[in-house]
Amino acid sequence: MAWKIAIMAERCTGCRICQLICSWANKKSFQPLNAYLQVQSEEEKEVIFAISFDQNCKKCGLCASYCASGALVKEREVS
Amino acid sequence: MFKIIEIHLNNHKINIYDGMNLHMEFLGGLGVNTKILTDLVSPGIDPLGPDNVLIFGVGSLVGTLLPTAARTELTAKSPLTNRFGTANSGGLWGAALKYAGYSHIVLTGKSPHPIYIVIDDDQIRIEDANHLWGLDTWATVSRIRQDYGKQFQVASIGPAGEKLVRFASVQNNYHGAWGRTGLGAVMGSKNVKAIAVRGSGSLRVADRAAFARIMREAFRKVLNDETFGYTRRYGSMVVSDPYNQIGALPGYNFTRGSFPDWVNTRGRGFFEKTCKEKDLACFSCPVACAHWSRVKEGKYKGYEAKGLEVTYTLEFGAKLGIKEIPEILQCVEICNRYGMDVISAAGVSAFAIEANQHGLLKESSNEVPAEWGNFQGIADLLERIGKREGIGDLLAEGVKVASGQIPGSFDYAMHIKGLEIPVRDPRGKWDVWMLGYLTNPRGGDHLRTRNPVDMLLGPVRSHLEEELGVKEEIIHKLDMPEKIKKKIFGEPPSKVGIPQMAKYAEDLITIINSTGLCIRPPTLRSLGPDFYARALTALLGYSFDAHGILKTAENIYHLQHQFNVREGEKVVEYAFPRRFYEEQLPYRDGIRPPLSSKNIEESVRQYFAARGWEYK
Repeated sequence: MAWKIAIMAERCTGCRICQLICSWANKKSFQPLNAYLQVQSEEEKEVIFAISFDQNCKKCGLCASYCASGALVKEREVS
Repeated sequence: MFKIIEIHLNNHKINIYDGMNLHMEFLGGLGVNTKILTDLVSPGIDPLGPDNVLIFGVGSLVGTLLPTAARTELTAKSPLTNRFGTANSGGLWGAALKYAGYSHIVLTGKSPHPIYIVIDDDQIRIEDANHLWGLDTWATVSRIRQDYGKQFQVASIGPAGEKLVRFASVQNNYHGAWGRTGLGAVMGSKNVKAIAVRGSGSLRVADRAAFARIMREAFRKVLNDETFGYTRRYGSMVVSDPYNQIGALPGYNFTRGSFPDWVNTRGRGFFEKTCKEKDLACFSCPVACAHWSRVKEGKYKGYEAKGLEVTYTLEFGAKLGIKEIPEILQCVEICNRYGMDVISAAGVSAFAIEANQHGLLKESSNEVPAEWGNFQGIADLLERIGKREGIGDLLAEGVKVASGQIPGSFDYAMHIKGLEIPVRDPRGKWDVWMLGYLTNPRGGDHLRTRNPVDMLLGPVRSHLEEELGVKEEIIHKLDMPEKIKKKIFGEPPSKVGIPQMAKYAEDLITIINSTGLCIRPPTLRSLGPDFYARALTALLGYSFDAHGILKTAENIYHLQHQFNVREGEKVVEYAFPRRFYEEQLPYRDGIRPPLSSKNIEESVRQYFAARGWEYK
């Protein structure tokens, strides 16, 4: 099952849970840098975050399922 | 992931060894720190001399996806109390060290010149820090990130640590801190300015299927706990209004239990309406109890800061009487930049103000405000302390030493075992937390003895028992061995035995500080020894059980106690300052009576009995 995932980055708290569950599911280990999405902040004090998916993302929706802040939301099934 | 870096600062020699056996025996984080410190530090050493050892210990579960698994314990002999010193912080630093391949850093000796340490996966470099020495912590983080990259997480000291202020903190990036017991001064005494860490390695678990089940269970329990919603919304500020209601504020150096305008100036709803911008989280934390604030109106409109934490509010808002939240946040910013513990900094400032009000400061009286709530005067005083200038040089020693140098000021020095007492007045309500002020191995502090089922607004029953603050079904669901439940709550559950719960809560928090999760209510209440034992088993591949890790926690606590005993601790030190025994506390339109020293002693005696320690 694949999902369209809505990004509401202004809600992101910077916890990196989305990256942890992604790396766990796809790389069998924990490392945010290995996830198929990145959470980054251009600011010095890291208050506002940008979230981006890379081309490897399978749209499984696990990241949104674990996101407690509402920054990633499963919008609808796409396949 | 469980390797230990040992750096001998005298000659900059680096030794790396496997820490797995220590993790199996002492769980990780605080437990391993405790073992290393008690093994390496001899009794009677100077905490600011080369014989002290400073240990960073990342919790064993940090780096995994468990809710709130972000925390690192920092441990050394305290230069403030001369006893077991330790502090805990979250953020991203611990996970970065884990991903670099290490769980602990042990610093021994003293570098001949200022240095900082850069850990970039398996590359460990010791660099000259002359260009960083003298910078505040924010400038230090910024400079290191300019030089090495934004991915580096930085633990650093500021001018207070360099100048050996005895309650200097180690700052965790910009806003976090290993705050209590003066470990920033230990780092400064070793000529270490900062430790910058980046890790790109992956953390694998021993039993993937079991760990997957444990992750799902943990998220279900934490997110569904009844404390989750309000902890997310208000963070620690959730208790700001109740403390005022029950008369437990530390107002004006513990002489006012509440303020008529508290809720409308420093309450949680007022903060939310006037300042809160968004929620922020530590690594792997769905609770996100931290906030970013941007002042919406008034003369400070546009001022931004991380917070508000209730500790800031109670220390600068109540203890020192500052009414404006942006001014409270600016006091915190001064402490963060200089690298000073906010609680001890506020405590020593309150001591100085009260001493000044009684005419005891003589020629230094113009350096200290004479009235509560004087923001500019307090801000100036904090800077003097951070620089050790004027009276700041004496106050930088902490209230215990300072009161010994200022005749007549003894009663205004609010500390237990040399550590300034934080946030709450025990006359407002006697409960497990308040007994913890006396039993905490680091001295007068509230963060090692929290009852997982406390109810702040419940009535006081006695010095030995609390009302059961939750429904019986919550007690039945608690992850706690049944035998211990019966001992604490009775059968059927009808009360909380304060000394017995204090002992259990300390053991549970020892497990939490060793595994690296957080003691905020959603985790403290919903996850217990059985959970932590299963999580460690799945992660490490060795068998742990609830009974065994509770015994280990007892052992860790006992080692900390023994450390203090060998430094000369006596049972007579398990006592509050005289003010709490002799003075009434005005609150709202009533009066809280003084504590009974006989009752407090009986609580401590029963606590000693629960620990199996001889009271002598």
